[in-house]
Amino acid sequence: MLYLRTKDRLKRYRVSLSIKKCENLIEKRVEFKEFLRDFSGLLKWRIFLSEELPELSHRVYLAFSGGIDSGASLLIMREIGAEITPLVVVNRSVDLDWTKNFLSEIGLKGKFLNTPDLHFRGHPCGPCSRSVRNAIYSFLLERGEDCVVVFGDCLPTGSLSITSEEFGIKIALPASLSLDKNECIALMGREVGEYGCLLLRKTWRDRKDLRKYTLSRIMRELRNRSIDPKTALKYIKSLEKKRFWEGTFDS
Amino acid sequence: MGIHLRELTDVLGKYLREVIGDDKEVPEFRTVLDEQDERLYLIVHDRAEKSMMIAGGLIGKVASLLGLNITVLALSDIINKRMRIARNLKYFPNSGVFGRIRELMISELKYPPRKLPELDKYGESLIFFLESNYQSLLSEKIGLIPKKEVALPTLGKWPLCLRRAFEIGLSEDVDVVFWDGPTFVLKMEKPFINLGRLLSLSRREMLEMGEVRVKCELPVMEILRSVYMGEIEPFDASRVIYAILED
Repeated sequence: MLYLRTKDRLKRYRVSLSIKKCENLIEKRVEFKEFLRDFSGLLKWRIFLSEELPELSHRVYLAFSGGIDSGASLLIMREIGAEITPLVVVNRSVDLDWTKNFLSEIGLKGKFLNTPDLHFRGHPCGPCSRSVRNAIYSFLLERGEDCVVVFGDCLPTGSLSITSEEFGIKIALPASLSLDKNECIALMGREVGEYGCLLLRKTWRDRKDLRKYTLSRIMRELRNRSIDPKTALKYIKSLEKKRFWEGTFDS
Repeated sequence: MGIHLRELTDVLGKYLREVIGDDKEVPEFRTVLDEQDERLYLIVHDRAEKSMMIAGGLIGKVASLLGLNITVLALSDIINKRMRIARNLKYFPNSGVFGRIRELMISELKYPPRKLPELDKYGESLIFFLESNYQSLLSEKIGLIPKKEVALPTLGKWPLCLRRAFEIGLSEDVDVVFWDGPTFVLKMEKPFINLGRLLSLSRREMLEMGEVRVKCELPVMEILRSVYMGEIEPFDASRVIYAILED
């Protein structure tokens, strides 16, 4: 995990916002004081404000989709000693066999949450994300105990990466650490081919006009610097097999 | 405007709370008032908070309640912009044409608000533009009067149009060439400079500053680079790229 430490200015700025949010939440949610203090240690280690990688011996739930970002989040939390319960929301976007194999290989037992089948007219990402969030929030609220849940979101960087919720604390781990896609890929040791999940790729085949919403999403990740231009170009090529002029000023 | 900034900030916070509701956090923000332009800059920490402010017409509602133009900026974007400008300052010494451009860069380091310098006439420039002739306005502000403006797409397809622009620029009797090409080429008989890149301006700002607009096609990688550098907003870029894919 040593290569996760960074001196990149933008990442340091964003992680410092996450650290400040942790400190604010320590005052508001006293029951999570110890967890937030230890988690803040991870954030500080990432940007060289602390030399020691903390031992986070707390119980966390982790929303696992089988994707690169949630996979990297899982590996990081495991590395720092968290007691993880992966929550897998079963829907058409998840490759269940791959997910089960991955969890089994790393010695974790996941909790599989069934949801009603996804119905959507337009782009599936919004409804899918809401469905996953609702399923996980309902599950956690039913527990009736204070919980920490980790998601693999990379976009809500800074103070929005760690939020206080009814059930406890929600952390968008890649966002809070300002991880980019290349760092997540390095952690997972697995290359990314096409963009998106099974459901998204099927949607493009059936509805070509919806690719513009996927394009918009890729651009948001690019603008946020979660991906770089080369990766964005690879994703666009996976959307459209047609040849187009790629060049730059140098060509 | 005659409004005290502190009072305005308090009222803005109150309206944001009313519009956002009690169950969500109002992001921390700072305000900068441009009295001349009658514009209030609302600066939040990062792009995620900026999205939250803009989403669902939140800022639009607050702006109409206050009767003001409000621009939301992310401090992370401002920091990036200032870093890029500061990194290039060393190539522009404080003399001659370079000194004039340096003044422009220093004024842009203080954005927001944007207060462009007004310098006396010094020389002439040649402008090659892709979509907007915003560089003509900037050139005039620093005393380099545009001798001619040429729309790059009229010179041929990308990247051949840049080569032609280079040839024309070298042959014209001007002190500097401002173009929508690479950020700067300084070691020639005259400098070729992309002011938009040098000042880290967004595409929207370039279009707003310019008087002439031309439709053009950029190569996809160039659009992606511009998004990454914060020059084009994601939504605008996705529309342009989608149109290219549909062709």
